[in-house]
Amino acid sequence: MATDAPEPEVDAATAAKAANRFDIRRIIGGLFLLYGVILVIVGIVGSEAEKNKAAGINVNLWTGLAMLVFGALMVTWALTRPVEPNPPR
Amino acid sequence: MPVLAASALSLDVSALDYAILGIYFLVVLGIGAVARLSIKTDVDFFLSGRSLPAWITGLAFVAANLGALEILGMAANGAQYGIATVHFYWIGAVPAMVFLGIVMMPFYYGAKVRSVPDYLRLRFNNPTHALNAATFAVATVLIAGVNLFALALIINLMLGWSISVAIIVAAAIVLIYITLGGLTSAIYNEVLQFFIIVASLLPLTLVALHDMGGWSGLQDKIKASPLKEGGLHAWQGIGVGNVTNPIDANWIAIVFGLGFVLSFGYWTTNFAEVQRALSAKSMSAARRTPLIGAYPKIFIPALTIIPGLVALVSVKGLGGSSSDLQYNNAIPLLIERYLPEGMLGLAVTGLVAAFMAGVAANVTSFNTVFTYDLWQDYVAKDRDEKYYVRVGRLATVGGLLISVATAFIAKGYSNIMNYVQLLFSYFNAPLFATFIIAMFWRRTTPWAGFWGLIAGFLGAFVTHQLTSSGTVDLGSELAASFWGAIVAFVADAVVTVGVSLVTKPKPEDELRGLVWGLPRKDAEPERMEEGDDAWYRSVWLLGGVALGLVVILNIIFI
Repeated sequence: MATDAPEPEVDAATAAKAANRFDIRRIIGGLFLLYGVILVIVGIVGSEAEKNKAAGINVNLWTGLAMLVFGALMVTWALTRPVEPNPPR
Repeated sequence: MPVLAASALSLDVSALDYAILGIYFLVVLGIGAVARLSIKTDVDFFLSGRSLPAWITGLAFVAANLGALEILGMAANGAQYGIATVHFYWIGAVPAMVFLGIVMMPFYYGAKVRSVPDYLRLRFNNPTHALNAATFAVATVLIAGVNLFALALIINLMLGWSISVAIIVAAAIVLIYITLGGLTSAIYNEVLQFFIIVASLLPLTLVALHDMGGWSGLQDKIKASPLKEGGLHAWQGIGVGNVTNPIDANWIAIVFGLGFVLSFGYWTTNFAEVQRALSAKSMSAARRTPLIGAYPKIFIPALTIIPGLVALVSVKGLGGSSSDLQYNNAIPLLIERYLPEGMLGLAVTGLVAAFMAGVAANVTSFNTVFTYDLWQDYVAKDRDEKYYVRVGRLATVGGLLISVATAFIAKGYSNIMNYVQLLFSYFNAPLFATFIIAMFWRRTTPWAGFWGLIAGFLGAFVTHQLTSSGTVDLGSELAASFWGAIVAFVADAVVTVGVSLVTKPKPEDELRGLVWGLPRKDAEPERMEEGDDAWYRSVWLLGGVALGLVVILNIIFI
């Protein structure tokens, strides 16, 4: 495909490492874990008024916990089934 | 039941909420910066190197549409029309997505076309191609401007920034991550946005529903609302000549206008959608893209229509003359009412992310069509790949600048922009007629494509003129748009068939791989990924189950 001078051969391990760092599952998982931690903390330390704002449900706490679980699942999926570098076409 | 005071809508956004939004912006820009490293060829920039797995392209497929006005608009429809709004999803989007994956994708992906207009060039001729590419490019840039303006409005409403500042900040962020990372960064951000929007809308919906006393409590309140019993049913009061449903359209308008023509036209021929499938890594993944997207699409109405209904029964004066209380603000009003610091930031982030993804989907499809179909085909052929990546980046900048200008024009004349958007929806409905006839009837000639599209556009235009001037009465504005689509489809089909009968068809050899029943002679064996033949990846199974689900849901909400 590329018409330029041949690209320097990157060894397969480095390529796989780079592809995995940029794995969308890790990005989603990481962001959800971070947001989950923030929400759980706010859900615990927030004022009573804030905790009851959502019709009496502590929506920060529950959403935070759900996001932690989802984020952990995404990261686990990414770690157990890592990206394989694309086969050459 | 507590009733919201008819006060000005403004969210009490804290530093923490801003931090949540700020983190999201950083991640988005970071994705753009990293995606840039993987761009070596034009195919990398415009089609993500055709390398993505189906679950990513599938979620991007549905997220590209979940941006824009979809979320606020469908909540508004929910408040205005009730449960009947599900027609946009269950008779509209889902069957069209299944059709795209099972029937049409083999032609798109198999012919290795790089865009929807590219298919028209191979199937018909250059004039048809140029007409479609040019109208698509212009329409997409204008609609990106409308989306940008809507995004600015919502930022202004929720965060209190001035509209001009909001337009410029949003455009700058989209510009940076698309120019850097091309389609890859757009698609990654669409997938991320999809999860963020679900993470914010799902808790909001559950909380609102709980506050109404569950689904049965909400039903009782709807029966007491202006929508009455009709707001709870999708398929009642739709008899021809006896229309009493809230949408004010009979079943012909709903099934053929909204379902068959408008939705199939949008989902199967709009390049902003199809582009996501073309970036998949194999034929199997490309076909599964819209099928995987269909599943979230089946359940998204729960996250838009239910908040709309809750707003209808609990916000006093919704839909009235106050600009803060228009139907479009149903979701922001509930966010203000229910979400505390923290979740508030997440919800604002979700909406901003959804809007940015909508603009980005417009911009990435624009730069591809501009570069491949206009610049490469008609201005500068046979340059090297780096040249076209550069053109694509410049097109992104140019397209966004025009969008920003359009957004500022829309600021002064929002009804004119609605009109522009309507005008270009005229191009979508006939396009589906052209595609379906061209794919299944070999005899369709090159010039039939061109004149069919023109006729379809004129058909929609004339219908709209007649109904908006009051000469013909076709029911509500929404029902009239369904009928306009039907007229456009029929006009396109009649002219396409008529012109085909009197002009010269293409030789069969030039149609191989482009029409039904004529496979390519040199067809290389389909590149299969490991596991592509697994039973749960069968397109028939995925499509069949999706259709089965919508049939069951339609029966439940009959």
